[in-house]
Order: sequence, then structure tokens, then C-alpha cells
Amino acid sequence: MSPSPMGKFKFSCIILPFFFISSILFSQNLQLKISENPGFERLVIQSDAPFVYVMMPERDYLSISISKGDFDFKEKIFGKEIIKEVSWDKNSRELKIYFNKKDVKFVSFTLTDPFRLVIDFSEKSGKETQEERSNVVIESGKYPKETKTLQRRSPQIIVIDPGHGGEEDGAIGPKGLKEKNLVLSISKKLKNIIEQRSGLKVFLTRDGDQAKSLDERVSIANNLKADIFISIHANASVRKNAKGAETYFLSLNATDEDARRLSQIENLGSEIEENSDLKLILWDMAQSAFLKQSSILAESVQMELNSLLKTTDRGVKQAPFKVLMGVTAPAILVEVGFLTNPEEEGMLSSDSFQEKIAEAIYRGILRFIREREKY
Amino acid sequence: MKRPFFLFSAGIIFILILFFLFFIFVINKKEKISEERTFQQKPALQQEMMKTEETIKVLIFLPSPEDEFLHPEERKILKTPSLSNQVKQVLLEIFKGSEKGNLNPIPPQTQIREVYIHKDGTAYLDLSSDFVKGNAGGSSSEIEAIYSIVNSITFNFPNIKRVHFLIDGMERETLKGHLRFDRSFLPNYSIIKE
Repeated sequence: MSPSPMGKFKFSCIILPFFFISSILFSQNLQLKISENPGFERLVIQSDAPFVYVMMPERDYLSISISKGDFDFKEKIFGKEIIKEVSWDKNSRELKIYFNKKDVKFVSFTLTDPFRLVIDFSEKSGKETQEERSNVVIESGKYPKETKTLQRRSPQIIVIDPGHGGEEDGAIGPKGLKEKNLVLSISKKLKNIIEQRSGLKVFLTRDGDQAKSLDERVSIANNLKADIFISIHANASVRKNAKGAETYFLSLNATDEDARRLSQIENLGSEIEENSDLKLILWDMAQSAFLKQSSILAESVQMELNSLLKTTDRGVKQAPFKVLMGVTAPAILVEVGFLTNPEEEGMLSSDSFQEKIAEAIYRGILRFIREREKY
Repeated sequence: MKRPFFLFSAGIIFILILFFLFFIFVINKKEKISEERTFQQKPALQQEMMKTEETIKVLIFLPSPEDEFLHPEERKILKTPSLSNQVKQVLLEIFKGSEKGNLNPIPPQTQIREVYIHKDGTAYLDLSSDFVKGNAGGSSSEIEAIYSIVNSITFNFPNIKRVHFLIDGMERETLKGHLRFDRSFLPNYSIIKE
């Protein structure tokens, strides 16, 4: 039998005021302090309740997305010698830290009672500047002590993802060409070209006709610490004369929903680690930190596809692709052509045309790496 | 010495009474909201459509044989009292296909199992698995099918902000390996062309 309404009510009356009082005492106001120390500057974000954060070094600032709370300063505060200024965007929940110096490294850790995220910034010596890479930190306040640097290393590892596989054929052309076979063939050619002509390491998410879940593909890329992720697909449309290549990067289609879900599970507190919803959101946030770079990668690859293939330019587009969501690197999905178009199916089945596609994507990767170095 | 103590405890009691009243209010309200939020299955489509003859104009968006955009076509639906019924009618208009030579992105056998409108502005469309089986399985064919429906529904019903697909009553990870299907879609009007 369920407890009587009155009993439940009494219980609420006793317990709930305490929650209410504690929620006033522990309101999620964030405080930010910057202090100068010999050799480093310390930035402390203090909150009465632990929050989840994602740190992402951008071109000229460090971005920290914070799951909850609000700062007491209006728009920005000014820093000291190393930190130039700090701005808080309430809507995107992003704290941006700008610097006066060019090469800044940082160490972050968290303290409890009250919960504090501490980041120590210091200038980098000449040696350290090289050979270091960007890192996305996805962690809740429970896992402290991570050392990160702001400088990006140049790309070294490329993960190529041939779409579909196993029972999943993908699109099938009128003459029977299967997408899973076509994209595997192109991916292998691309791997060969990249490895023969550059020092980049290439991994395929599948090298045979295996079924791989989309999450597995993302895990492979993230575990290998991929610097670039390229998923290769062949297209299909109800419009039989649709033709040409196009390149996608992720659109955060459900942003408002993500925000809502995040706020729903914020109250879980200590259960947060086991909560798969939260992980899902953090993975979304992970790719969102790379959207700018992903768009440059998409533009670079599309440009080379156009100039080499001479097929119809369908351009760079955005859509909520499952396989791009969780990748912690610049990530794109290339649709090399239309299998539903008999003419393109014929072209795509030829070895030399596949070779051309691989060549174009390789050039696109090189173009992206060059573009990236400009920053 | 006793007087301040008396005042202090009176103050505390007063605050507790305030909390007490506040929570009675909050609890009542919360229960009401959760009642309203439960899905309500609506009576059968035809039954409800018999009751009214008043029509409203709607636009549906379909892919064209000429370009890669979705193009509007005007339709009339019956102004039935329930929103989910109107959504079903718009879906049926999309499923019927074009009257102007546009293409039909929805596999012909696709059935509507049920439509639920959640109070938060999400329309849950439960379609038969033919919607998946009949899709050609490319990014473009997924986008054509998904956004024909999503754009048509959100465009005509301002209270519906997003569309969540269910297939045979279940969530799916993707439609056919590309666009994520386990979360709601917001409209994408940038792929519409007059």
C-alpha cells in the first residue's frame, strides 16, 4: 500500500523546509578571483555546489563551459599581467579567459568545501612551446589534478571512418554498388596516400566488412587521441538526378533540449558520474568545442573535392550526425557522390575515380593543417 | 535575557510557518503540472474529423526534382479541436505526396501509429517501421524525409517547437546510420525555397 497522503504531506513539511533553507544557503553563485603569485597567476572559481566543466583552449583564449551557477560580475573583469580579461556569457554558459602573453600554460585542479576550480597560469619557456597539443578536459569536479597546455600540437593522428558495414549496407545503387564496400575502398586508398606522402598516422574504424556501432567509432577516435576525424559516406536521395559531393559538420540541432536535460540532471549530485544522460551531454559539448575547426576542415576538403572531381558542388552543410557528436577533434562527414544517380554510381565504381576522391580528401586535410597554422 | 530569546524563537516559528504555506502551494502546483504533462491519447482520427467542416490552410514542404531544397505546397485540413489530430492530418497530406510535381520523400507504406503532443512543445510522432525500411539510406534521403515532416509540423503549429520520432513505439539511434534519431529535431528552414 502506498503511504497515506497525510503521512506523505507531513513528511514533506518536515523535510522540505530544510531543503529550501539549504538551497538558499547554498545558492549556486559563482565567485571568481584572480591573484598574483611569483611565477604564476591563480584564477579561482568558487561555488557552494560542485559543477561540471569543459575546458577548451581556443585560438586566443581559454574557454570554460560551466554547468551551473552564475557569476556576480556583469560582463567582464580585468586581469593582471598574464590574464588580460575574463568575460562571462550567461547564455552560452561560457567563461572566456584572454591573455596578455602568447604562450601560456596552465595547471588546473579542484578543491572541496567549498568547491573550487583552481587554474594556475604561467608563461611557457621556449622549449615547452613545441610538441604540445590541445586537450579537451571533460571532467566533473570529482576528478581533479589534470595538467593542460594551451598550445596546440600540429595534427599527427587521423582517424578515417568508412560508413556502415556488416549487415548495414548503407545506400545501394541501381546497378547494385553498395555504399559499405565503396567507402571502405576509398578509405583504404586515402590511408595509403596519407601514409605514403606524409608523416601522419592513419587508423580506420573498420578495415573489413564489419558492423561497428557509431559509439564504437567515436570511441576509437577518442581513445587514439585523433587530431582529425573523417567519416566517409556515399549519398542517396529521392531525387534520382541528385549529384555531386558534399561535406558535413555537426549542427547542434537540439541545443535548447540539451540545456533542458542538463538542468534536469544537475540535481543528481553524487550520482552524476554514473548518469549516462550527463555523459551524452558532455560528449555533445565536446564536439561543440571543435565546431569552428570542423567547419574549416569541411571547407578545405570540399574545396579540394570540387577542384579535383569536377562534380557538382553541393557545398558544406550542417546536420545533427550521430557519428560526429562525441568526437573530441575536428570532425567531418564526406558524402562523396550519389549512388542513387546511375551516372555517378558508374563513376564511383571505377578505381581511378575512387583514387581521385582519396587524393582530394588528402589535399583537403593538408589545406586544413595549413589554414590551422595561420592562427 | 529572556525577551530576545522569545523574539528569536517566535521569528523562527514564523519563518517555518511561511515555509509550510509555501510548500503546500508548491506541492499542489507540482502535482497539477505532472497531471497535465501525462500524454493523452486522442480519439480516432475519423471520429473527430466528422465533427467539423471548418478548414484551415497549411503548408507542407516537399523536395523538388529540380534542386536540393524543400518547396511549399498549400493544403487544407479540417479544424478539429485537438492539435494532435491536426498534426496527423498534415502528416497524411505529406504522405499523400505532391500535387505539383514535387517528390515524395516518405516511403509509401509508412503508417502513423500515434501522435502525442507534450506540453513542453515536443510532438512525438510514432510511425511504422516502413518509414525506416523504405528510406534510401543516404544523408540526403534522411534529411529529405526528416525535415519534410519536421519543418511542415513546426511551421504550421507555432506551439510545437520540435519533433521527436518513434518507430513502432520505440526510439532509434539514427534513421539509417546518419542523423541522430534519439533526440528531438528542431526545424531547419534554411533548406526551404519558395
